[in-house]
Amino acid sequence: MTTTAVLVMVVSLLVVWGGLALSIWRLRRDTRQDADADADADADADADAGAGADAGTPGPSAPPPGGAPQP
Amino acid sequence: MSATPSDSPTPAGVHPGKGGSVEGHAPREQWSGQLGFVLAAIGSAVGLGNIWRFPGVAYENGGGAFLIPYLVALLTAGIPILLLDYSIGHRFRGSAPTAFRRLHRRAEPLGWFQVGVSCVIILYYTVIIAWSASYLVFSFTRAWGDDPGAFLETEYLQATKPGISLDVVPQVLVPLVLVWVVTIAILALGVQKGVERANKVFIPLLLVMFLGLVIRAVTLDGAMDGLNAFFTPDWSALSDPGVWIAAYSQIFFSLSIAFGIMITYSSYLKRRANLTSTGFVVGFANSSFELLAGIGVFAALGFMAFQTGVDVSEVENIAGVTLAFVAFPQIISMMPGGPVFGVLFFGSLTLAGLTSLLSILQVVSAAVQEKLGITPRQAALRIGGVAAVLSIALFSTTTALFLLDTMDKYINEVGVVGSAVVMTLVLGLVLRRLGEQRAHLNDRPGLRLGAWWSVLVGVVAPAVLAFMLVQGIRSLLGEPYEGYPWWFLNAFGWGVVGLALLVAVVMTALRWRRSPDDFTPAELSPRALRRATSAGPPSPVTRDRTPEQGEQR
Repeated sequence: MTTTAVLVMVVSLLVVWGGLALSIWRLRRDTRQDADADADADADADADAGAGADAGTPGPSAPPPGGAPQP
Repeated sequence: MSATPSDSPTPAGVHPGKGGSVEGHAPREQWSGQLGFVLAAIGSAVGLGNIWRFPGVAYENGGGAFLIPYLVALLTAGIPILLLDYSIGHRFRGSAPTAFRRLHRRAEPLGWFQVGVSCVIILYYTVIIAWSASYLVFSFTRAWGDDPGAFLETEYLQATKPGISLDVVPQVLVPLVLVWVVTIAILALGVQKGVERANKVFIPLLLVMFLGLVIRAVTLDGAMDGLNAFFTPDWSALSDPGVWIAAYSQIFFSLSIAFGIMITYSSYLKRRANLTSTGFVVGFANSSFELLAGIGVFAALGFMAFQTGVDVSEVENIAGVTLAFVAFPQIISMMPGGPVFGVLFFGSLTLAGLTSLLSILQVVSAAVQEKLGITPRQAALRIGGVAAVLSIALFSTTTALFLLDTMDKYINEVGVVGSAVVMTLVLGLVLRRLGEQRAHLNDRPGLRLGAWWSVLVGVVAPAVLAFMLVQGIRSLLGEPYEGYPWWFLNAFGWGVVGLALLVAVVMTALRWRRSPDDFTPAELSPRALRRATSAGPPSPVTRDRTPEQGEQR
């Protein structure tokens, strides 16, 4: 193989396979961040619910009246 | 049905007020997760064209230099249109006809035209998979003998001349029936248990087999000469507009865009799915496989040139049916351990074809399920049954090769490209809904799209595609394709395009068993919408449907 052909092959592989690797990394990072944000939002909601229950106001996750078990 | 209960809190399968609702409908099927969707989308994109079309197109259009227009086409048209498909399917939660109908009442025929195009492709795609499966078996004994070209035409296909034949070829009929049985069985299991599970097995297997093939190919004598021919750049090709059109065509036909597949697949994604980053993964995975195919194919062709004592540039049959079923059998016959190489090559071809076929069939199945209110199993059996009969009647005969060649040429160059032109123009210029679609994509985790996306999808892509369409139609009208008789080209070339149009008209006229209009699309957050539509006022539909509050998680 000529040097030019080798260079073109290496650059092509780097760009295309590198693009794939970068896309996968980005997708994984976004998914992780979204999951973290979900967990934070759930934690905030639980905290708010606890505060609401303390103040006598049933929160979204408080047990229904009569203490019926949650499905 | 295989909806994920945890993500389907209401009977409609969606979260009221945050992700679009379909009143009174059964829960919509869903992918089990992001991985299932990504693998299915890659399975759809990676098909026969990656293995037998890309290497030849690249070689004939500047070699290594072709990769520049190819990457430009990927980033300026391939991935942007892929994301447009995702945004339509995901936002309007339906197959192509349902999604377009929900986008605008009068846009439904476009969805059915895409279904019609898929119907035509299904008919001939199955027979190529059947041939590949046959050749996989032939590899063990090298049944093609010393002249694979003659074996293919006279012994295996028993090809006569362009026309209509009732002479059935048993050795094609049997694998064709088997391919249909396997495909219908997978489809009948539904999206999650059928299509997703099949892709989770087939795609890793395809990758392993193809990697094995490439590793073997590059270690053959003469492989470096083949790679040299493939990668040596002809920089002057970059000034040739034809090379750029070839690059856009390759990307466009290879990515499974604009004929309903990605609209249908993305409609099964969960509400908070990452659409943009997924699109880049699928786009680059498809190109990565194509590049790998280029290396494997040209290393093997280099070996064949070395063995026959000719230069790689003199090697014939470097693309399409003849590459797979003439050149590769020759290579397999010449090399030590040929049967193993044959199993790897034809196994890869069969798997790549099968995963793409499943996606095309799902377009038709989902559309009919939604229009007629039937289950996936009923749709698989009815559609699969009718398509199998037609496919077997047309393609197990002695005229299969000519029919396939003609139908493939016309339905791709006129049907698929025409559908893409109309879709991008309707979204961008007529309905002016690209801003909303961009807001929908940006409302989810993933890469943020700027105004550049709307420009690419609304201006660049339709301009290039319209040029391709006009050029394709002119060449088809100018001279008889491959010298086939005009009556044959009119009947099976323009005829199948007309058939797709007929499907659009008839199916649009049919009454919906379940109204597709009892649906509210996913709400767009005002912030994302403001950003996306800052170039112009939102459409009346957008104003009507924009909620006071942003979309909640």
